[in-house]
Amino acid sequence: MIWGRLSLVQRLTAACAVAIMLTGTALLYGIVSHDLRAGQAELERRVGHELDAILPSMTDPVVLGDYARTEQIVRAWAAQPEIAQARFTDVFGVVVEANVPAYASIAPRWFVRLAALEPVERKRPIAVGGRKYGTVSLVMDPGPTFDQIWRRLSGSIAVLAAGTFALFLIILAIARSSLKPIGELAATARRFGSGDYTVRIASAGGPPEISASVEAFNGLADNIASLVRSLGESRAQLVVEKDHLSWQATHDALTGLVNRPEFERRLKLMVQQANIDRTRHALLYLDLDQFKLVNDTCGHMAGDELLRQAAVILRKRVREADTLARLGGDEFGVLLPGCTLDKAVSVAEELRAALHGARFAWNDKPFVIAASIGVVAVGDGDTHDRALAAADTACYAAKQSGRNRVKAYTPDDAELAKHHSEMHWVTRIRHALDAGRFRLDCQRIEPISRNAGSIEHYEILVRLLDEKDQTVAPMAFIPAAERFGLMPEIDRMVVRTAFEAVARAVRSSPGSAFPHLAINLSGTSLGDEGMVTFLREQFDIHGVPPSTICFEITETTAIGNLTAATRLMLAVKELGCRFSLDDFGSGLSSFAYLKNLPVDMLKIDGAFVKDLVRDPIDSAMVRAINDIGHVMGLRTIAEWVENQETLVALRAIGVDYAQGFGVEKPRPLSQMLEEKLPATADIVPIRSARR
Amino acid sequence: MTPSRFLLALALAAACLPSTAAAQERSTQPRYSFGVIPQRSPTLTAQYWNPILQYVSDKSGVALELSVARSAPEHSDGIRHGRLAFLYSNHNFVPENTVSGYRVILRPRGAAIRGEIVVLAASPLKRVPELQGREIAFPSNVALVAYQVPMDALEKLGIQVKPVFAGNQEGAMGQLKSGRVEAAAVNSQLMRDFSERESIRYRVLWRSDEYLNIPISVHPSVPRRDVDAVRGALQDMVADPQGARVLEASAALVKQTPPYGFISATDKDYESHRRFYARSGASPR
Repeated sequence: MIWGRLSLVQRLTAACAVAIMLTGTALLYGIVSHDLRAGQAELERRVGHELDAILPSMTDPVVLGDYARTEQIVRAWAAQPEIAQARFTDVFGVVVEANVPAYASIAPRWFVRLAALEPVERKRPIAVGGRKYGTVSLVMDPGPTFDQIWRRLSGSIAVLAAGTFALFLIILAIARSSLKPIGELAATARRFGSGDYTVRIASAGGPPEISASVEAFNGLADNIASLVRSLGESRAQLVVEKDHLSWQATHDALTGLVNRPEFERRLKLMVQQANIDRTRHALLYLDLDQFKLVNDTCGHMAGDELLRQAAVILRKRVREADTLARLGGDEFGVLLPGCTLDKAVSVAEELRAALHGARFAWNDKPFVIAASIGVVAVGDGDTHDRALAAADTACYAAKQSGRNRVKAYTPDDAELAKHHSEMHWVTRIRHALDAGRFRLDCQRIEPISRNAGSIEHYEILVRLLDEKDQTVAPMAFIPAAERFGLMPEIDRMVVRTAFEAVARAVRSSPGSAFPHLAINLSGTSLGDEGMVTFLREQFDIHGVPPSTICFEITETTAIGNLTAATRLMLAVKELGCRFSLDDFGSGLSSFAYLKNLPVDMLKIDGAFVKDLVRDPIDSAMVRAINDIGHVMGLRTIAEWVENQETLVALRAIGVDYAQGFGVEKPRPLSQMLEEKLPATADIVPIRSARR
Repeated sequence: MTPSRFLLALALAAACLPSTAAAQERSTQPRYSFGVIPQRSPTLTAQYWNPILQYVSDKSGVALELSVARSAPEHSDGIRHGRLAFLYSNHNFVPENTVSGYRVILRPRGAAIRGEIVVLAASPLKRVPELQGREIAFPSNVALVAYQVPMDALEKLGIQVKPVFAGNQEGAMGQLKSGRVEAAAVNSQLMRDFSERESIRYRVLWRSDEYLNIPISVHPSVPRRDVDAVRGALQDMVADPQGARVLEASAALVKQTPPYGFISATDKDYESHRRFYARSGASPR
């Protein structure tokens, strides 16, 4: 459509031109129609007028019968303009006429055809005194009238055309001058749209509507520019915040290193890459050896600072393409893409040496930083879980091998295989829980001071029975259970089984009292929010008096989960139970926390007790712990008492209780109950709560 | 047919009245030409006479058709050659025309007429001798009371004038009115009618004896029966209310004063006219 391609100016001009032409045509049509009617009427009038004029002049000759004169008059009349024919016909039919050549009209033939003016013929009789002499007729030629109308029409058309043209030019000029700002507006809008937000239209010009549009555009542009600026700032802010959030999501806030989720993600990618292109990569698993010492002796701030400095040291020694991450606690991981196992071992050695070479001091207290590093090759056929577990195993092996060393994982390494088999303990423990293959032993804790009173109590010890019903030592499976989160389940099994056994024994031995028991709770159980409820239920179910139960927690686990441990201890103490802090002294930070832990007893670490007699330092340590415990109103227990000498020495120091082979070896709980509560002769079968 | 050839045929038809083949073809009744002396314009003459002739034709059963000549000489020529069946004229008294044998059958009622030489009332001319050497308008040289009689008198008085022929009576009066001439010789009755109609005032310098007014005559070839019928109709016209209305209407056209109509007359009544022509020797020139 042509109309659609026309500019506004062209549209306006065309519309005006059409309107003018239509109006002009209508006007001309009206004028021409009127002229034609008037011309026809004029012809009628003229022919009557001519007849009026010719009749008197013809009467005399006609009356006289003077046909020569009559013919002269007819010819003379026919010579008049617009008369095409003059004729006299007498009563006898004699005709005297004069015709003039056809009028040569200047009007075009189409106009003549359209106008359709007909020649006008009028007749009038000549009668004198009642006698008719004949008839005069005149025919008027419309040609001159045509010409007259055509000349007028031509003039009108010329005027109309000139007027239309002039109007056209005026409209064109006005439209162009008026629309010029619109052109500027469009150009400016395009520039604005292409991102030049500073551009504005300087002077509006043109009619008020256009000026208003231009002003509106400038206002709009100001607002948009302002909005764009704000958006830009907001976007920059968002980008910063997004980057920050993204960084936070993937990094460890303390060290600034990649965090564990991000490390595992990258490890997965690396494993996938290895599976695709069979490239070899390496993974380091690094554990700071003395972090716990620093944390315990100097506090968390010192531990945090140690971690930061370790991160700085490590970061300096890994490549840009490598990934250094803090995996949690004092554990770090390093991904070495495109690195062989040998090269990775040397990198790990370099890292270990760098850490070991660094000196860390807190409040002028120097510490040696050491790290155990496990190295594993990541290649075709691996999974990230397996690679991580292998590296963890290697690291653990390095730690077990004496700390501050590097251990590469190879599947055929016997030592590693042994440690790695720990992981199989998970299956065995789970199976033992399901199959009830745990046995509870107990070891008597004997009061040795006057303040301790006469009540003896027993520490419950858990034993696992292998397929051949051989006893597996706790140290064989407890670490694995701790590492793989099975301790809460074992703790609950112990509580349930012990309560069940003593309750049954008491029921079987009417009148006898409940024996006092000490039951170990792992660090994980201290953080178990359902533990208090569980204990309350067990007390209710079995009717065991809470005052007969003392829970033992190790110093390390209590401090590691201080808040949760305190909360649980307070809740359980409300039931009436007591708490004993196990292995006290091994962490050397015990005194600081001792004040905050609601314990009733201190169990002095056996490491100090064992050589008490020969080692004055151990003796002094035991003495100090005992004194402080007493000062704090606590009862003290010495473990690992292996002989009478030690027992005598402990009595001398004033320790309240003694436990160890020198007092009584561990024996099955059932045996103790059978002995202490004779009516109960049956061995208590141990069943998992799951069953 | 060209007009000139038609005129010739018309003339021949008129000459052969009433037994011409042409006339017989046009009508079973004979149509008689009725020639009128050209005193006024042909149109006025036709306006005056056509109603009268139509009335007479209707009453008498004799068809009459007005015939007006372009000039007095032509009229006179027609009489001389006997081309007109009936006449309202005095040219038949001219000696050269008497051969055709027209005889008087009727004359108009009313007073006799005179010949007069008139000037406009404001004219300085007071007496006839003052006309010496001057141009005087005459209807024609065959007009009895308006040329023959006054010229005769002027010649007797020895006054030489320059005649200007105007073709008919009212033509001469028109020239006087327009100032073309200072004096005109006229029929007294027609002059009175003309002055009434044209509202002009005039003075009479000379006046002739009385002459009877112009008579109606008939050619000897017209059968007596038709002559009697025509004469009876014209004679009885004034007594017939219809005829009287026709006469009054025609008279009104020319401001003619009563009495109207015609009475019977004979050639004897016009002996004076014949004698004048014979005595004066006047004849159309």
